[in-house]
Amino acid sequence: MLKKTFSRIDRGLAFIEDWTLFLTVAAALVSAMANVVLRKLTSDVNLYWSDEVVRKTIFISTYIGCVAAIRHRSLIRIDALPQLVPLLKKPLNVISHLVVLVFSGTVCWLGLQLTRMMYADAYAKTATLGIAEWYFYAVLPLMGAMMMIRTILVMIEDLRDGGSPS
Amino acid sequence: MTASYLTIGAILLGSMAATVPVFMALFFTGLVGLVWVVGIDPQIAIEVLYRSMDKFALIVVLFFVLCGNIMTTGSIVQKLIKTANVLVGFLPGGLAMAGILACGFFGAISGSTVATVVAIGGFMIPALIENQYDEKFSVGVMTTAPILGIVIPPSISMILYAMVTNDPLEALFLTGFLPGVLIIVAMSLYAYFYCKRQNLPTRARPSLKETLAVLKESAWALFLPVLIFGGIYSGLFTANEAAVVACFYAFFVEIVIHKDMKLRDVKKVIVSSAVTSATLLVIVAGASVFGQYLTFEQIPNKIANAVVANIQSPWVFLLAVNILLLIIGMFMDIISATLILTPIFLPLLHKFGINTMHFGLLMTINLGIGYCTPPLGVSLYISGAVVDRDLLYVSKAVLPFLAIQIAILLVLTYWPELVLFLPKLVYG
Repeated sequence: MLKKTFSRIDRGLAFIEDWTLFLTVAAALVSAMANVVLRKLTSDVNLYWSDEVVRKTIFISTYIGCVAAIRHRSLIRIDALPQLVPLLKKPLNVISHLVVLVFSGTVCWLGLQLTRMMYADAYAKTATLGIAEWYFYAVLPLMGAMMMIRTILVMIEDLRDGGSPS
Repeated sequence: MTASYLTIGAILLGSMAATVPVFMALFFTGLVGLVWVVGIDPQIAIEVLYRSMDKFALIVVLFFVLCGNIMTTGSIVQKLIKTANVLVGFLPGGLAMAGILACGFFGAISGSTVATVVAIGGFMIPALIENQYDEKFSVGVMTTAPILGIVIPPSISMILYAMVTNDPLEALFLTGFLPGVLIIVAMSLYAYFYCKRQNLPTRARPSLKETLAVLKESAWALFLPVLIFGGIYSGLFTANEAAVVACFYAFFVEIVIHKDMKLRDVKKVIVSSAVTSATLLVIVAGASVFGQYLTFEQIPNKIANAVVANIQSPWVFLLAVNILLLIIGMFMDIISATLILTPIFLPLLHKFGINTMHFGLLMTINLGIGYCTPPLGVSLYISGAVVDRDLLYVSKAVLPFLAIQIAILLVLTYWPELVLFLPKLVYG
């Protein structure tokens, strides 16, 4: 029962991560390309909002991609010590997971405060499209929350595999 | 003050040694420094996380990673290898030379060493062994030649270096061309003489008709670097725009022309590229938080003053930095090392009158060598997995090629005119 619930959360989270990444990167690619084509083919037509769309989508894809990277265990880390002293592999893996949890909590807490501040500021809007900035600030606490759930799932997976990272 | 610096240093090194993701180690160290030492609001760290990723220039990292992934998913890589093979494969050691040249071609599109080892090494090592090349030689050459992935532009580490130093990216890219050619020639010469001494059978020289047929088949793939560099240096595109155009072109070639990629693969390639790019870019975010602390405390300037007080000659300084970077490259990946160390070295470069673009190229090659040095050389593990050999075996196999690359590094260190020849020629 518990296994089924974890698997459902895992699939749900993976769905959100994958589609967010696909849609944001595709949007950045298409809008950047459209801007290049229009700028080269016409002398006066220019997608003035394209740069902002690209910046914001890359921002979202980087932080949501970070959550997906935890699933893929592909965040860059220096694993010299466990390579040299294999006995340290398990304890260091636990420490690393705990630090990720602390990081998630910190970003969630501080990010939420900053988002609320932006929400209260009616003038905090993006320069060209005039979108309220708090939407984008909210990505950070959202990432923190998703990262926390994802790390717990990875820790459970490690425990199931006998305590070692797969 | 010294006690607080030591504590900050211990937190950074301790958390990195404890396998904490590099960007988190940088974030927490920066956060502790900002709150505890400088005494400012912790929310500034979150604001920096936000602002550091809200930059248009980052597009170039994501899209060159995507371009490399499209190529490895489709058949552009095979076509590049085939072309290299038809051009030099008939010479003694020709297949090894073809592997080196293919790394150069791939490097001119992808910008990553790991991608080059996986894409070219994974294919070429078994091919070399099958063609009676010595296993150790095959592993050595195809583990070290992928350094061309980051030396020949576009290069992801150069992109990140330029973000820190504010050097013009297009000019910085140009510093990698001649050193890249130098590495190709030097490694190919070694392969030529080694294989000649071993009396390895050579392939018959392909006829002009065969050569033209292969070139025709690979024309779409070969046009990709032409599009990128032709576009950038003719002034048609910026480096950012070239990355976008290259992605569209690569998708078009693989889906419509080569038909080696299905539409359903597009989502998979985009998602995996976004994850790879995220793992690189979050280090930029973490390094920005850490950099904020360094700036508040003026640490790079303090280090610069201390170094200048002890070292007077730029030559000695460069030698010391080369040794230091070679050691750091053994333990730290190139992206983290570039982002952490560049702000520290930058004031020193100004004090010693060293050109920042020259230094950027040296740093790239130096840390690129780190991909092939134990205990953390990623390329060693990838190649070891291909032939099912341990770290020690692969580490020994790469030694002659590392010696060549270190010799080239020394030449480039003390011959800045060669490195800066193309940027000066194009941009004055």
